[in-house]
Amino acid sequence: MRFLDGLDTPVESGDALRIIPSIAGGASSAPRRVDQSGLKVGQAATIVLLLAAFVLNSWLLVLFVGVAQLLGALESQAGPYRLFYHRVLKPRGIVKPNVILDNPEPHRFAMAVGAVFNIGAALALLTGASLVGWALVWVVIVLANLNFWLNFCLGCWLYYQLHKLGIRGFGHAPLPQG
Amino acid sequence: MIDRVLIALVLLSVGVAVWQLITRRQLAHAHTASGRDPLLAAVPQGTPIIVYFSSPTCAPCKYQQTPTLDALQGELGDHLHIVRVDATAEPEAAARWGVFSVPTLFVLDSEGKPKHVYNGVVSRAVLKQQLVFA
Repeated sequence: MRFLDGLDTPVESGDALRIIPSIAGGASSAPRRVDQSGLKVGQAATIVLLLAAFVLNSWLLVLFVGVAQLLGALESQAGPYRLFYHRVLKPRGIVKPNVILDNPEPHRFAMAVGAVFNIGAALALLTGASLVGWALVWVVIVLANLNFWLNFCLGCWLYYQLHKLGIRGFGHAPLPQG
Repeated sequence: MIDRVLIALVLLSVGVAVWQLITRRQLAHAHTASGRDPLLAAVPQGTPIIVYFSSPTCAPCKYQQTPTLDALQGELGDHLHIVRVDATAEPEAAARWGVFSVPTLFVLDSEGKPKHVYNGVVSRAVLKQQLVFA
């Protein structure tokens, strides 16, 4: 449960729980898991909110999305997308968890890239550079759509390219799915 | 605000149109490849085919697409032939078919002609519907 959703991990009638006082092994032995449903919720929220921001001409909404993505990248418990998924969608059964074996770091990197684009866009809009600002927003809308509908994560792809180049901080290779 | 809604709709429509253009080119590519492609050499005639490109590090392939195809094969038995290709082990095959991401699936009719291409995970219901008319 520590490596799933902690105390929020759903359990069902008949499940067996075992409490283990301590587990040997360091961070490198932590299971590499990602909840795909959580990612999809974030992508969908990004698309909807950014489209709303464009229609309403709201730099504030763009900034909100950027900050939400940044908090997601930092795995903050206060991240709006995380809270929406864990406190609203999951408990009501609207979205079911889909936890798979995968590296979280590339997805966090992708969120960080999105955050940079959106925060940069908000600043551009605030300073009157509307064309630049909205162009950046639409880049994020397109990439979020590619990720949501086609499972193509450009940020993840970029992460693994940087890993291949041996750049420090991009230390995780793609996990074999065999 | 209406003008911005219209601009958004236009931009989204352009995006969809560009995507459809890309998939049409992919199908045309697959049409050329399917004629005498070694991937299809062992496939019996008269059966619809799914050519499925994946890779060992593709998580959506392993956890979503492969189980869907296994279930579909189990349901349709000999009425469907699935050709599974590791795009990283066979990059030439991936290039011949115009594959640029995984999972990518091509649905071929019983005459071996590519009818649909899916970039990304596709559901069992959609595939089954395509195969009915394949």
